[in-house]
Amino acid sequence: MSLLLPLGLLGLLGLVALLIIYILKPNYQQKVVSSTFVWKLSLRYRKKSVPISKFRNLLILLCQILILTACALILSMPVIAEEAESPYREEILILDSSASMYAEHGGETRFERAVSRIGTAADSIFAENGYVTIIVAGNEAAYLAERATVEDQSEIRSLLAGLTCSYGEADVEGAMRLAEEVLELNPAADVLFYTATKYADAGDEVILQDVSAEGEWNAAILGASAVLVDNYYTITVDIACYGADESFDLHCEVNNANGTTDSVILPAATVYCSGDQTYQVVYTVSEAVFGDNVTPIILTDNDRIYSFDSIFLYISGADSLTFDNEYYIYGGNKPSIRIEYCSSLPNNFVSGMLLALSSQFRDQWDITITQVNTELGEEPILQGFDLYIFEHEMPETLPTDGVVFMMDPDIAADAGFTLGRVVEIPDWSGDGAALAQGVEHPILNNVTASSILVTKYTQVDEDSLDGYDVLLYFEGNPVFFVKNEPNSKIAVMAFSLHNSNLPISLYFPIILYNFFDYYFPETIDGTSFNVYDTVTLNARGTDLTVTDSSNETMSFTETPAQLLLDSIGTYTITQKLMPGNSVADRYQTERIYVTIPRLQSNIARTEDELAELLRPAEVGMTYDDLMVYIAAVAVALLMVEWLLQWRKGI
Amino acid sequence: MKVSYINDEFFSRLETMSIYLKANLSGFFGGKHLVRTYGQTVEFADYREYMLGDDIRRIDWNLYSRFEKYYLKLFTDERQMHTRIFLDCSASVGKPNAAKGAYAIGFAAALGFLSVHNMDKLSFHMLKGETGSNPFGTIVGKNSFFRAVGELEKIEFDGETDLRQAVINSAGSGTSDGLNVIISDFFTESDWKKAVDYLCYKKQQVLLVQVLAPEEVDPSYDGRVNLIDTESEDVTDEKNMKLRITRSMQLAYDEALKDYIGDIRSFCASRGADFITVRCDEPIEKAVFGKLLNVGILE
Repeated sequence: MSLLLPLGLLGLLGLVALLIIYILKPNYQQKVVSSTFVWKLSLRYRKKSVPISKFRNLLILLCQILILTACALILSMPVIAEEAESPYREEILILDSSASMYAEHGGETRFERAVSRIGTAADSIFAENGYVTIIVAGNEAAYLAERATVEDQSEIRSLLAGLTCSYGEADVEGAMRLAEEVLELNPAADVLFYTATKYADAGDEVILQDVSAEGEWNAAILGASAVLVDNYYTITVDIACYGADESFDLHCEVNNANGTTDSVILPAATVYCSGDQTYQVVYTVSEAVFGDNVTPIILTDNDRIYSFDSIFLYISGADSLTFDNEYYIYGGNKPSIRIEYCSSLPNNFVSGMLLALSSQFRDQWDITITQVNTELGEEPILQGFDLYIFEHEMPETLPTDGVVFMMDPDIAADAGFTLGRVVEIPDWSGDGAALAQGVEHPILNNVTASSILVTKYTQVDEDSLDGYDVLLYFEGNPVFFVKNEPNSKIAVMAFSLHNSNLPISLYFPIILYNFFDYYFPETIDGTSFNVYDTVTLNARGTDLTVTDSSNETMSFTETPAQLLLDSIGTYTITQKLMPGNSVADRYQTERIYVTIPRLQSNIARTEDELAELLRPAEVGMTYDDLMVYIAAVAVALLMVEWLLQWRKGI
Repeated sequence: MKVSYINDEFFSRLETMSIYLKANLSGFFGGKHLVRTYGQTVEFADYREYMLGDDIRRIDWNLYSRFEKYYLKLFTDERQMHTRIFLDCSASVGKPNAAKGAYAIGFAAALGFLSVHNMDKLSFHMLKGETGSNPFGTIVGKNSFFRAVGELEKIEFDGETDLRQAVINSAGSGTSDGLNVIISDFFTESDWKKAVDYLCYKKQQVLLVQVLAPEEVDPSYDGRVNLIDTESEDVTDEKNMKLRITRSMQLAYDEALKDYIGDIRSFCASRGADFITVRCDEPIEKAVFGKLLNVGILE
């Protein structure tokens, strides 16, 4: 029942008035009589009340409430809205294209089963000259066919034949919105959803078509991670079995373990999974106390892992969904960064900060530091490092296979700028004169330039700074400038730390941290992702290429770049590092593993409710007026109320 | 507003009437009431055979000449009676409808007038509590009567009346000497039947007059009502009643009143007493000339 004028329900306020009248109604009125003698006698003559008399007042009140309610409903113009008969048949067929639809049983996947049934349904509609809309609810919902007619039958067949299932979630919400667009044109169209997911509340608007098969079950590795604990990796694997209670073995193979090219096969774990619960297998070196649903495997000395190239996990069993039966963990070997600090007068500020940075980035890089003191006659090494820091005394030729940081340079070498004289700042007070900020640059994030003071600096001809960004100035003279080109990555600080408050200020570690983050960015944040995640790729080098599990390669010339992970399996990310003058091309390779969402492994899951489908009511509706019936009820109630009042007076 | 039924016109109409009393009363010498005993009036009554000791002057010699037997000629006797009017002065008679009390007084005055008009003795007994006062004494003659009637209208109706005790206490020592009228609504818990029995025991002619107000015959109120009895002391008195008066309750009331009146009537019939019930909204003439004539009190 619908109300065409809901404001009419304000008439229900009459109920409040009725109740107030009942509350305020006086109970007894006093009446002086000559004698109550006869009234007392009359009590013996009074007829005994029938049981209904006891409830008469209640019934009268109930009748009055119902009468008022009926009047309010009449004011609200109640109708029964029904869909008008459509002159043609139309169906909107929604196909669940989530990863769980890959579940196979009897040689046919759910997806194939659904496609087959959709084809049959479409043929049936076409036979009646109806309309068919097919919506594929994959990672993003999309029309396969929109209001197709019998003329499109062959095209529909070929489209269905070429359809593949996605590896992600089904965008059911988006599919419903697309269906609503069609319903705007024909609100009477039936909406069928071909899926194997159960819904506790599917609503009334969508007809669910179950494409699951009896006997389907799935054992899955839901996720895995390797974490360094006490210098050894602890491997944690989440596994589950859905649709059946099964026992299966989890195998673990560690490739290139502990810096060798050998593979270590860890003991297999036998796990019995039941009740669709998630279980954990933990390969660890510590005999800690574990909770329920955890199977610990204590690793012996030979099996302990402190580095690895990849860990391959897989489970045995002939289940319905195969591609969640294996899993790779990458990231066991961190890329190395070699730093050379070369100074004629080494100071603890720089060396201390380098140690702090190596500790800060230890999860990201394997950093080694080499210190060269030229005052003692040591010669700087000009190749084989990723970062060269030269202080005071510069080499004649700068290395080209790494980033060069020139601090207080005595010569410009081949850095491409012109160095002037050393200038002492006159009349400075306190710790020195303040610098000014140049361009906005990531290296100066969270740095206040005016807080950096200097007392002496080396003049640099700004016109000669081709390709450099000037970050700091002193009275128009560049004192800190950087270059970041594929084959030339140079930063120059034209003043000595000894003539500045920078090493003792908060901004020194900040600048060095930003410097490191700028020239050595993390390629990708993580080693495992869900399919259809979009990740950001960074590169310290050039020629970034990504190869997915099907050997399809994508190249990126500019970073940061966005990458959509649209297939499952291992992605290999390769970048070319600075080659240097006399060495061969160097490459850095990292790998990530992309898997289906954990939820998709649960092929027997039941969702709470299906996304709401709003069917337009205004178009193509017929209304049956209920006013007459409610008025009849009101009159009947009036009669009953009158009868009760009359009986009450007897 | 004070209601009065007593006026000259009313009394002038009553002069045409007289009270008929039963012949088995003895009464006093004088008066106008024929009695069953034989007396010295001039009105022939009967014959009987002569018996030793009879006065020979009363022998009817004409009959002797015809039958050669001695017969005495008997004549009727006329006596003076004493009319006692017991007026219930409880609050239920005079309140809340003052017309009811005025009607009772008017009715008492009417009967009193008829008595003195027929040369009978008259006494008014005002019943209140367990006593019955006789403020005017024995009234003989119209002068005394009208003096008494003037005071009669000043009676206050209040409190309760125990009809049994009040009548017994105030009935006096007279036996078989006239008409005793009890005027009340008889809406009392006291055993008024004992009073009637007492009067019958004293061989008096008894008339009960029940005066009712219209609202007592046909109570028009309904709904939830707290009935306050005029004789109650306060609102918490047990005489008061809380009732939800419905149609069925009104019917029960009618039935109860009807049965109660029938009970009074049947009791009076069993004791040889007369009983009438009157409504104060009826013309008093209708009650006096109608109902009293019907029961034979008036002729």
